[in-house]
Amino acid sequence: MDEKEILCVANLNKYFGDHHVLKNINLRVRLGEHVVILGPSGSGKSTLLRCMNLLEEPQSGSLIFLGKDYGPQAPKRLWPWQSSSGDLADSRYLRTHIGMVFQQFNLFPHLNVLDNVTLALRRNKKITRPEAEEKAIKQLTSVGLANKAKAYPSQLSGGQQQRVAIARALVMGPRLMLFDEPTSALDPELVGEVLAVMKDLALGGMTMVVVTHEMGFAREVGDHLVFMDEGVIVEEGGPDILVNPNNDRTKLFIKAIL
Amino acid sequence: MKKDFEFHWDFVFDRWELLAKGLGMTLWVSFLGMIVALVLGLLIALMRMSKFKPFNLFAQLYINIFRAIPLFVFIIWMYYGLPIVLGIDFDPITAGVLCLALQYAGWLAEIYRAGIGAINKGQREAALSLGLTRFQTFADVIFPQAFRIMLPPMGNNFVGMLKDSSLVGIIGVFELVRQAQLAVSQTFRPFEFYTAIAIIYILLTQLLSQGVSLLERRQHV
Repeated sequence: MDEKEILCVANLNKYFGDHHVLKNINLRVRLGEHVVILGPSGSGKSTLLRCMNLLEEPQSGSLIFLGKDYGPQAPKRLWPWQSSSGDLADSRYLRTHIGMVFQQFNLFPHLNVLDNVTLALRRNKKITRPEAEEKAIKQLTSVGLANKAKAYPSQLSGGQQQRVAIARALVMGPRLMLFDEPTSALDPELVGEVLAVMKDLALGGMTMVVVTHEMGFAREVGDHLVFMDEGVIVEEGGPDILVNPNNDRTKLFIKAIL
Repeated sequence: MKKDFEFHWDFVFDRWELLAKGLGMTLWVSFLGMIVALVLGLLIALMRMSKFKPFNLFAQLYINIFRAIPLFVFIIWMYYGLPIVLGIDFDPITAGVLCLALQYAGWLAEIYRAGIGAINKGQREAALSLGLTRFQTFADVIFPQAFRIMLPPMGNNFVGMLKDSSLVGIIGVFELVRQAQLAVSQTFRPFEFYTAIAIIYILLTQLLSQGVSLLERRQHV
């Protein structure tokens, strides 16, 4: 096994009923890598991303995060009295170490920005509220929204909401960040501010897997590009696959989107 | 229209203590009934939404049965029937509260279900993705948002129970209506007493809906 490997998806299969959404997917994510997944809608990109933190449970295959398998065959931690640090796979452990940002932001509308960011900290890490708030303010500062700490999500623009959502995921100190079409729901003039935050994060060395249609971002930030179609990875490689794709379907897709 | 009828409110004022006692009992029975119904209704709703088939089936059956029985029949059955059939003997207040609670739990379960079901599934996913447990996700994220949606229909149910609590009078709980009946039989002034308690019910309902809308305004969504 590669020592710098943080996440490894192997022979992963996912069905929705009879529909075979992910067909024997193999993908490695190395530490510090910025993986960008591209492909037409319905190709399974989002489902693959959601399998990585078990929001979707694959039917077969393995999902190895930091050397431990969380796939459907792995023995699972089911009860609170079982140790979460041992051999048993604990989806909550996985999720506290993998941050996720959604297309629809999914901020908690009944909580203000500060409480949105501190909720999971306060519940699951043994720190006091002032400590959690200090961390949250630091994180909000990094996305340029410390002044909105007391605002409610409905009072923010889409771009601001998404930046709060990024801060909310980052405050947990994740080893890996997943982005599920983070700019697709935004007005065009707000896309830039979210991409800027993501670029900063990438420059800072965060390992990221990003599903996006932003080709500019893919070219600039992506160092491991994955092209999916109909549930399979048809091509992967460096940013040069955008210029010189080998696969016909990749060619078609890139031609259509540029 | 007959003109020779005159209201004699002094009969009512003379017996205000009787009505006050009745009012106290009405509030007590409704309050207990609502508390039990709120808890039981949530349990039924959670079972109804559970993927575990036996729970789901039980909850459906519960909702369909307990909402269908007329409260009048249910109360008679609980108080007079159960001791004969099962040897379970409740005092009138317990029997009454139980009937109100069991029936309203059925209504509330459907309100809970609609409220919880109305919350976007992205909320649950976001909470889980942050490493919250399923319970924390429900308690911190889903329920507070659903509560806001559920408040108005729940308020209607509070009002409904307040009025339905008058039915427990038939098994000898001296709530407002029963006290009024007693007063009427002593004074032969039905219009005065029934008008008086109607006004009391109107005021109570008004108070309740004011309370609910106050709560509503305090919720931030």
